[in-house]
Formats: sequence, C-alpha cells, structure tokens
Amino acid sequence: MDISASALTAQRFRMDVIAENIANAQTTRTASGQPYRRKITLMGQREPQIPFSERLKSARQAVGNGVRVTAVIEDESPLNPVYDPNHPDADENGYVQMPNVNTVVEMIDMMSATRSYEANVTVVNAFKNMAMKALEIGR
Amino acid sequence: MIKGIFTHSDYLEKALDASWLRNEVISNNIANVDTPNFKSSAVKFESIFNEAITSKKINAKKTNPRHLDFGKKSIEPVVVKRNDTANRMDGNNVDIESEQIDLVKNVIYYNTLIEKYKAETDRIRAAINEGK
Repeated sequence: MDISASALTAQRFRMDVIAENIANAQTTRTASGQPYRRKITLMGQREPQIPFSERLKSARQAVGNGVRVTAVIEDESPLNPVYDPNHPDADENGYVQMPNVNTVVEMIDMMSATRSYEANVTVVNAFKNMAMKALEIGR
Repeated sequence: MIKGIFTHSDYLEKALDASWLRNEVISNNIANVDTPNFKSSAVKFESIFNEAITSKKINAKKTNPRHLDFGKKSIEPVVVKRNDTANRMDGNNVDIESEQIDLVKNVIYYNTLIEKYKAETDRIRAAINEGK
C-alpha cells in the first residue's frame, strides 16, 4: 500500500510541475530576471530500508519500496524568440525571449501523469479488497 | 492426529503469503512506470511449490531430533527480474498492461485461496463439533 501511495504522491507532484509550466507559458521575466524555463520532474526508485540481517534471509530483499521524485530540473533547450518591439522585455533587435514551454507537450505529459495515477489507484483498491477478504477467514 | 490437521492450511498460508508478496511486487512495478532505467520484477512461487511437494525426501539417520532430512526444499517465493518485456527508450521495461492483468489475476488467486482456507477451517470446526 505504501508503495502505491508513494507513486500517487510522485504523480501528483509531476502534475503540479506540469501545471506550473502551463501557467508560466507566457512568463518572460521571473525573479532572476530571465524568461521562465520549462521544468522537468525526474523520478527514481525508493530503496527499501531493510536491516542487513533481514536482507540475507528474506525474499523481500528484491521488492522495491516505491518511487520518489529525485529532482526537478530546468529544460535547457533554447528559448523561443518572438518579434515584438513594443514588449518591455524586448532586446535591441525587437525580439522577446519566450519560455521554452510547449503547451501540447505539457498536455500529453499531463495525460500520462493522470493515467499513471489511475493505475496506482487501481492497485490500492486491489490491495484493499485482498485485505478485506483476508479478514473473512474464520468468520 | 492433531499434528496433521493444519498441514493443508499451512500450504495455503504459504501460497497466501506468496500472493501478497506478488501484489507488492506488481504495485512496485506500476509505481515505477515513469522511472528511467527501472527493471520490473516478478514473483516465482508455483514452480518452487510444485518442486517442493513432488520431490522425494531422503530420510537421514538422525542422532539429534533437530537434524533435517536430506533434500527437504523450503517453500519460499523468490523475486526475480522480468526479462520478457521490451525496454523503452528510457531503459524502463514496465509493461503496464501486462502488470494490470497480473494484478487482476493475482487478486482472484488470492480470493480463491481465502475461500479454500475458509472451507478448511469450516471442516476442522465441523470435526470439533462432531458434525453438528
């Protein structure tokens, strides 16, 4: 159950990052003065925390412990120059550097995150049903 | 006589534990569907169980009651890496559809085992109550 819970948390976090990307698709000036850059969520395996003695005798050693978000990195792909000389952030040639957020890509990512979330909800329900069934023993 | 009455349910218990472990492994696979370079795992149990109950035990000459017979295999599930699915571009080989199917199969298997276990306890209870 904890495994699926960690995945639900990670997918929700990914969803938050996607929402931030879409919300900032037109942001030309962030706190650092630079245009907004698309953020990418990196995921990694969460390693099981089992004492060494347990590891030796138990088959559980190979069962993972779910997933976690390891880092959020900025997409280093080039920004999107748009000709708009009246814009306050335009350079001397009249170009504004727009964020490298592609709304279509973000939408696809969002769908992927939603589906992964749903898959994990299915697993939680399966676990729940099994546990409830086990309670019927001896009734 | 009393010694043998739980033999059958002991086997069922082993299978139930293996099935629960399998569910954990499947849930870990599904949780890591977006993790680069993750390799999915599976639980091997039925073949181990079959081997253990069909293999012949050799009775050893024992000088201590705690000595074990030869060739007695333990019935424990083993987690193995899956290598029957294709790697994606990011090095991840989780096949989400096959994991979902395995999950459904495993839940049905678990529920079946629980029903068998319940039937077993009902039989023992009937014997205790002299069939009343």
